[in-house]
Amino acid sequence: MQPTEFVKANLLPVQGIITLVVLGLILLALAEYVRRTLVRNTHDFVIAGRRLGFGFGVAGIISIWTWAMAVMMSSAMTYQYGTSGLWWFTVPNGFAVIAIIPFAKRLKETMPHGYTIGEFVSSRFNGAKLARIVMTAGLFFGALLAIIINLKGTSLVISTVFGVDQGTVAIITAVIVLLYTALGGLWASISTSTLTTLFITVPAAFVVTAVLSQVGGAEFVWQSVVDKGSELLSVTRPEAAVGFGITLALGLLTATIVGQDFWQVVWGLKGREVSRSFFWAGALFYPIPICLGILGLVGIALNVDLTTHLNGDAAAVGPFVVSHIGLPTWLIFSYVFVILSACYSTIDGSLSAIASIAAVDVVKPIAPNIPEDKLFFYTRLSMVVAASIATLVVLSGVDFVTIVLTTYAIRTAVLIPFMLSVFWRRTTAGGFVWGTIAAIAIGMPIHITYGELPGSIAILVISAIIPVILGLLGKEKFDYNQLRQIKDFDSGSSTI
Amino acid sequence: MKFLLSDLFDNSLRFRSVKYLFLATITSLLAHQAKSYASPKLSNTAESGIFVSPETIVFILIGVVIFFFYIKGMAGVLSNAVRTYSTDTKTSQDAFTGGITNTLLAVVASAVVIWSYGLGAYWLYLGPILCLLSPIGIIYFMFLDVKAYKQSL
Repeated sequence: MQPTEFVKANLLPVQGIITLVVLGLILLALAEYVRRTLVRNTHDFVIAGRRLGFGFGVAGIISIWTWAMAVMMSSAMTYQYGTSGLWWFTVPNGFAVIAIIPFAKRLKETMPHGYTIGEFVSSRFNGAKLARIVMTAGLFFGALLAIIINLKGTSLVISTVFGVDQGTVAIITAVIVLLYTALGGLWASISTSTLTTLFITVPAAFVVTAVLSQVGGAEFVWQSVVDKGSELLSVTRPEAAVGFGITLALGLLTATIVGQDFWQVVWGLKGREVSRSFFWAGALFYPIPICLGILGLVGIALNVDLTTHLNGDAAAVGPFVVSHIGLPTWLIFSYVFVILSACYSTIDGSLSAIASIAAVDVVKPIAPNIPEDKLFFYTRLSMVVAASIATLVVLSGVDFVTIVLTTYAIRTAVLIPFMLSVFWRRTTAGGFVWGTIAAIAIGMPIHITYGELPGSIAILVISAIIPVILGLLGKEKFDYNQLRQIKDFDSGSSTI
Repeated sequence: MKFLLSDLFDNSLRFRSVKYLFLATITSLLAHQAKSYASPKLSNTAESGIFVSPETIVFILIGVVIFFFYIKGMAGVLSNAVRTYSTDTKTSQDAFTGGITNTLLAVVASAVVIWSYGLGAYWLYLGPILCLLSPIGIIYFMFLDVKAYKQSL
């Protein structure tokens, strides 16, 4: 077949910066409105006064879950494995959001005035400090990692499409998101995330349609892919499952079930909305990767080369296809808007999560009687610190594999002990802590030596066996009614 | 005096939000001054217009309608949330049922849609179509929220 001649769209760096700023101004306007009208104290800031409704809950969760990297990874996995790649990327992704429901429902009922799962762990195990520290560390690293990965992914895309220096993109993005999130906390985060869900879904639909038309239609794409091998349109290729699918599925579950950015939404939602919000968020999330994955098929059809065109990074196939096939500029901007929307919403969700962790799991335990205005100050400060650390990691070019591995280790090891602690009365603090520590100590060397899948299995098995054994050996049975005694922050005084 | 201050305050808030939106509009217009210099040199395509194809136009038109109702829904939810800020929200039970069945349906549906891409070319349009259904669903949910707010007043 005649090789395709790609021509890069001639877009200027200043246009990339303007795009970053335009989206930021729109979200800032919304955050300012929300701040003035709905955020009157720390309780509103951290947990939106527990007044989030169904619509905003669903849209907010979708947007928080749609990472910038996920937008590109759906295309990337399709490009590498065909529809099997898309299948293994997409199906566990939506399920991971829905899977939180039984735990969310349980904790919302038994601990209606909660803020973080670090707080739950502390209350569940009668103030056990080590258990809380382990959980808080996992939550913090998870949120920080989300910020770093989204900053990195966005910097990559904007620099590829517009030629802007990656560091400049990272700084502008971090400042913009920090500004509007620090203004309004969870209310601002969910409101802006609701808007960005619109900015992700609608443009994705017409951009992908335009791409199909531009390259010769769906028939051309489909037939070209079939000509390269019918297995590319099969969902049963085992190499997709083994190559990334199974470990990704597990990683996704830890990201939601042990992710404070989701738990803050659980406790921020009105009581009756929790289950159905998470169900519909998972269900309505699915179309996003299903639609954007088509760009991966287009990449296959056009013979996009991994080395020559994508610098060895399959995640670049979506941005490459959109910016190199002669689409009108406004459509390229629309695609970039999709990625930026995904980036901003995930970062603001993570910053809000860090704010709640700081307030509830760090400051309050150290200074229980801290005045409201000082608590509010430290809450906002934590966002600034987290955004600064993430930006510095991205700017330095440091390989953040260590952060990735640390987060992965803690969250995978904590997953089953946490699940047990939610439902099983006999889970003890010792079981929780030693199950987690032993799982990391034994499982991580296996991970490093034998690979992700054996390592993950080892961590899960050890973190399950130890709490179960210690629980059965112990005589304690926790009374979950104790959790109802946890109270809200004092919402009487205003801080703004 | 109090009334005057609150009036000024509301105007200040509106002014600030409008100022940010105005800046966003101006910068968008500036960004679109530059045109793409890329010409479609793909051997299998014809010269395309600004909207590329009739199919794209259809999706854009539907998208515009969705956009309008979505923003309207958001405005309704936020304004009612403000109006009911001081209302005591009673904790009500999470009544969502059929969790396992619905979960299986959603997961299987997504798996089937991806599988359908292998059936034929036109199934590829299912992705963009479903992507427009997501915000439509959210518009409906926001409508339910507004209804619930009004009932509580």
